[in-house]
Amino acid sequence: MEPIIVVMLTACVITTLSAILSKSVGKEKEMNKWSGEIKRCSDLSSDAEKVGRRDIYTAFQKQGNEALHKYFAALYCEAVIEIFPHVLALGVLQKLYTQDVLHFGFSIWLFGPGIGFFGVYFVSALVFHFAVLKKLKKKLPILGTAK
Amino acid sequence: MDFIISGIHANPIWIVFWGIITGYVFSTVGAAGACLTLIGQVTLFKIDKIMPQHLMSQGMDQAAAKATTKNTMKVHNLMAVILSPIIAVPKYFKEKRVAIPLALCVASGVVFGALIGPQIPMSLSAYKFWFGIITFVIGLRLAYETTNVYRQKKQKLTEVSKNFEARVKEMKQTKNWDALATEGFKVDNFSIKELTFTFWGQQFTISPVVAALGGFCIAIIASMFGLGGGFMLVPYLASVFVLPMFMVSGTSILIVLVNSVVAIGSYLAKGATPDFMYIGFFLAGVAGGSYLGPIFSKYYKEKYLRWLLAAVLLFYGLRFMGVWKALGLGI
Repeated sequence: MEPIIVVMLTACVITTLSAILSKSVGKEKEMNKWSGEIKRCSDLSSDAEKVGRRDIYTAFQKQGNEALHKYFAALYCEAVIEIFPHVLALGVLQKLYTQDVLHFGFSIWLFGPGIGFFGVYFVSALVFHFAVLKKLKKKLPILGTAK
Repeated sequence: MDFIISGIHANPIWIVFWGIITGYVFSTVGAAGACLTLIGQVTLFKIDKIMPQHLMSQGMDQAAAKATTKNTMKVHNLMAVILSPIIAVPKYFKEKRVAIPLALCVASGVVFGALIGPQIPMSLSAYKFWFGIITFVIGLRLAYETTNVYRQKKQKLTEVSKNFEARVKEMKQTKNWDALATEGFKVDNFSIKELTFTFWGQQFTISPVVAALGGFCIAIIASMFGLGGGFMLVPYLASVFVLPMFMVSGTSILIVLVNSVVAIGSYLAKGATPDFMYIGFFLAGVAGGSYLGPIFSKYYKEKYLRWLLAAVLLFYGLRFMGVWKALGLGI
């Protein structure tokens, strides 16, 4: 099979798989919980500042900072779950294709005479995500926010 | 398994295992992710030693091989850092949680800083030395967080803020946050001296020059060491501009994304060749560790994990600085 087809197909399959994985083990609930806590600390610290209580302002800023850490940890988990399959797939493709997989036949500024596996994978995954998966998300609960 | 880019020969299970430890610690303690990523690369898988030899065997000269290795390790660190901003930034924009005028001011400095940082000459051993200092300082901070002095201070702050919260509840009617969110931000006044904007119903005034200068300095340091810079940006935005945390989180993550993207681009332009296979296995482990961390942390005191992590970081901080070697200890 043509290398470009293999790369494009891999991008589409992995994008679908990572969306399913992220949906099933994602941490949206936890993120919402910490987001609420950050908002609470933020509101209260600005109230404290308004009434001139710098000590309480600092206390809430510190609490907000801790909530922010927890929020980032949950966010990081979700992000890494969604992205590691792509990086692993890129690792396999990096082993298979060392040359350009798409040849223009002429030179384009910034790109040169062709694009490697990474560029083709990146564009294919992005296009597939926005053109196909985003639309399917509304219909298929396994992929995301079905109503 | 052979990793063709970095040249290492390692069992992927060990890379995944180290990723699990990194993800577990990061999700529980909320720090040291980049330090553990580098410890894995240097101590366990010896990328800093094997990759230069591998590149030299392909015809590259020693200086270039060492520079490529150093830049590649930084890109590996940044690839681990950039994940959350990639996912979060579109979400934050949708929720109107990014203070765009402020982010643009800081990011204008960040872009230049992240372009300059990677150009500052630093040998592989100097990089390890300075990273050792960062690791050591984080270790000290974590050790301090396990002390009674810190815990008592924290307890006192929690009590004070609880009382205040109860009083506020009594005295104040609830704000309709969602209604305010739909307003997003509005620039009221913009000049080189002053930027005034309204964000979620509150008005803020900042100096664009100070914002850009701060971003510039933070980006130089962060990009030099292959870090996202969030750990410096959050206190900077919160303390210098006295911004609320809810705003800091959304704004800082966009700036981290800008810094990481520019720094990765600069390192790639300098010849860094990330080993996707290595970092892919590592991230698979990180995903597992981040997922397991909050589940298992209920069964033991977080203090003990902090102690252990502080000890590990202090040990490796001193090792990267060459202290053990100077003392004649072969560890």
